[in-house]
Amino acid sequence: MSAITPLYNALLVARLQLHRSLRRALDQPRTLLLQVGFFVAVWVYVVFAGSQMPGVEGATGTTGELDPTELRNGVRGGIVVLWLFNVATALKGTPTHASQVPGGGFLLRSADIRPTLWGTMLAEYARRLALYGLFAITAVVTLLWGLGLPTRDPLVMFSFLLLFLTAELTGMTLRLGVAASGFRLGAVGRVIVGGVGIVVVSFALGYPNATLTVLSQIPVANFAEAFLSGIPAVTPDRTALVWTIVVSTATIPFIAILIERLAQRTWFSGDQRPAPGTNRTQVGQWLESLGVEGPARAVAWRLWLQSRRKPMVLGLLGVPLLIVGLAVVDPEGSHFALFPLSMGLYAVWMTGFVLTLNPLSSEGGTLPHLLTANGDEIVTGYALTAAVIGLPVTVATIVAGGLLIGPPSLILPGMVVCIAVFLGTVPTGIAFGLILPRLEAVPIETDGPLTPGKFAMAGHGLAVAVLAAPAVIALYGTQTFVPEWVAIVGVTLTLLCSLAAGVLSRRSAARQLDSLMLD
Amino acid sequence: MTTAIETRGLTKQLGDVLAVDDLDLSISSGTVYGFVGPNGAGKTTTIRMLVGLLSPDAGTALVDGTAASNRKELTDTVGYLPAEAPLYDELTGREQLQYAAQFRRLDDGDRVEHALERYDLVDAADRRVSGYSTGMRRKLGLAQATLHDPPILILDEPLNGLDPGATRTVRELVNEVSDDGTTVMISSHDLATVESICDQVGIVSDGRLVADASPESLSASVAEDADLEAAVIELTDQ
Repeated sequence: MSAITPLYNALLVARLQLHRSLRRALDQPRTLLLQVGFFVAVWVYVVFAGSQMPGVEGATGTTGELDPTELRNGVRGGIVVLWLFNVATALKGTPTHASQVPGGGFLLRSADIRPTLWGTMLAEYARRLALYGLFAITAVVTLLWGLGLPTRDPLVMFSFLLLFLTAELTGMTLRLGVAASGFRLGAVGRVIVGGVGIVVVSFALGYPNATLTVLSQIPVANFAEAFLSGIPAVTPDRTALVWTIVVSTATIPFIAILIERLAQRTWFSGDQRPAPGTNRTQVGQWLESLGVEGPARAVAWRLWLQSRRKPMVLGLLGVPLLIVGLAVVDPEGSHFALFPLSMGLYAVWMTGFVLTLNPLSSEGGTLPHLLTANGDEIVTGYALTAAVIGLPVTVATIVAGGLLIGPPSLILPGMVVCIAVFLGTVPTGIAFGLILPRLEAVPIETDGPLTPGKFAMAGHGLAVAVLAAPAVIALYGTQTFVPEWVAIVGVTLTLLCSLAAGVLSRRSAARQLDSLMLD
Repeated sequence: MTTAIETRGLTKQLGDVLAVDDLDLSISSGTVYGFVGPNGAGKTTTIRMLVGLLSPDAGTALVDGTAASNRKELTDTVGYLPAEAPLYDELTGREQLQYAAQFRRLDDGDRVEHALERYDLVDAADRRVSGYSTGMRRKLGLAQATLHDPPILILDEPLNGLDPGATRTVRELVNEVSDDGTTVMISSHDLATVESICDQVGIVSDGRLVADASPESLSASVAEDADLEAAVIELTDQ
């Protein structure tokens, strides 16, 4: 085997993976369109609204308010956010066992570990550059040109490529390092980590300037100095940039060797996870004591078990409550109208996202019910689980929002509206999930339902918004000049529309379930 | 006769389970070797160690005199078909084989067309693998595993879910390659087929080799008119 063979094989692996990625993307034109649309929207925003950003406005010299520090921190922090996002993506996508490598039985026997590892990484790197990189660099360059600030720094492209490469390698190292250490988070640990993660992200979103300033201190932010070149009143720190490039470039071979060693150690060690527990639960008996029996109870019980196995997903239900908590710490972020009602409606949407929006996602769990229960019973099972888990969270969110942030007068109407919309949108969510299911190949290690499809999520969000609209508009109006009876009409309208939507969606979902055929 | 596959004290623990326990195995070159046993007996784990996709905790595994973990050296020596054929749904059957040929530096024109004809896949060659039936996927997997004419062929459950026609194709393939001197190790629950095509059969239970002989000897060891199925049930305490 010549020295050139691993390189040839790595390039062949990369070509193979890119070939597959392209086919997958073209097979899902709606998703591709959505992704492209998202990036175009970001691009348009950056180009047309970006010049209104604080700091940028000042930097152009078009106004008297020059704030180069804020601009600098923003660009540096933004680069770190992009880097962290790519680290997280790489971390999630790195296989920790040979069986997780797509077609591993073929690739690892034909091309061995080094070409497989680096070929796959190269393909992923190229895919990510194509997906995010081209849009991001177009946006940055267009923004700067639009402001009359062409970036002349020859290190721009180099910094850009290194930014993505270091993110990819860092993500791989972290994932393989944790796998090699044998460290595993239990269910409680995952909930804690997920909770801390949600708090950190919520905090970061609530305090963007402070977050960007903190992130701008991380050495990776030095890559941003390449993009700051040519902006008036901003002097890029070229020494820091050059040092970061030199250190990154010099470190990459060592990280690559470390990754290879870690992969060699973890990929061929076999799956060492302990056998799953028996998942004893009292929910089945509890539902029985409530008089819920037969297939509906079985559906609810199964859904509960699956939710328990995905504690982080279930933890998403707590996000609205968490936002209320953060608003208590920082009341600045909650000074918008109808805060308790808005948070309650967010909890309603989240319940649908977590529990009802993809009823066909898990064949192993769904198929037995499809064969033994009718559609009505299955919908009842889903609605029961959503009610048992989601309603208390929704009510608690409204009460906490009303008492802690206010106004307390919104608690009662907020509860009426949210419970009505809840009753209406749980069956609507199931119906959307049946019309727009996400039926992709379920990885063998996935022990639970798949995340719902984007279009089902959007449809469900639209249903929540439309049903809540009469009450929200009327309640908002009564805070200004509209008489109180309008609010009663609005809430009543939401109540009636929600109940009607619930009944119709329930029938539609049950009919769809009854008419399902295996093909 | 030289030894094609040999293990000594091969051991592997997966989580809480001792999947393979001090396994000694010896398969002579040119033999068609059946590797049978109940579900969870350790067949697939053993095979994965033999093809270098799993590292043993203890013991050695030699394939053609080379450590099984040395995949690079054994790339051209071993053809391997796992229970789930390693195919890419996004590719067509022809593209899948063309990639396999390119990895092995084979002339991907004639070789691929010949393989497609051999496994009766010409009509489906330009269809996506995602649309293939179980039998077609297995045949394509076999075509991929044998594309480079390896002297050692390791097949893990190649008969699972196959219709009689496809089963016959596999049987004919095994007979054909073994006539050419290829060593074949085949794990399967289809004991009638194993009995008909294998020269030697190893029965594994709880990660240990409990018997290793010709199908006739194994059957006779249980009862005069017994078949391999009876022998496996008897020897594995099922």
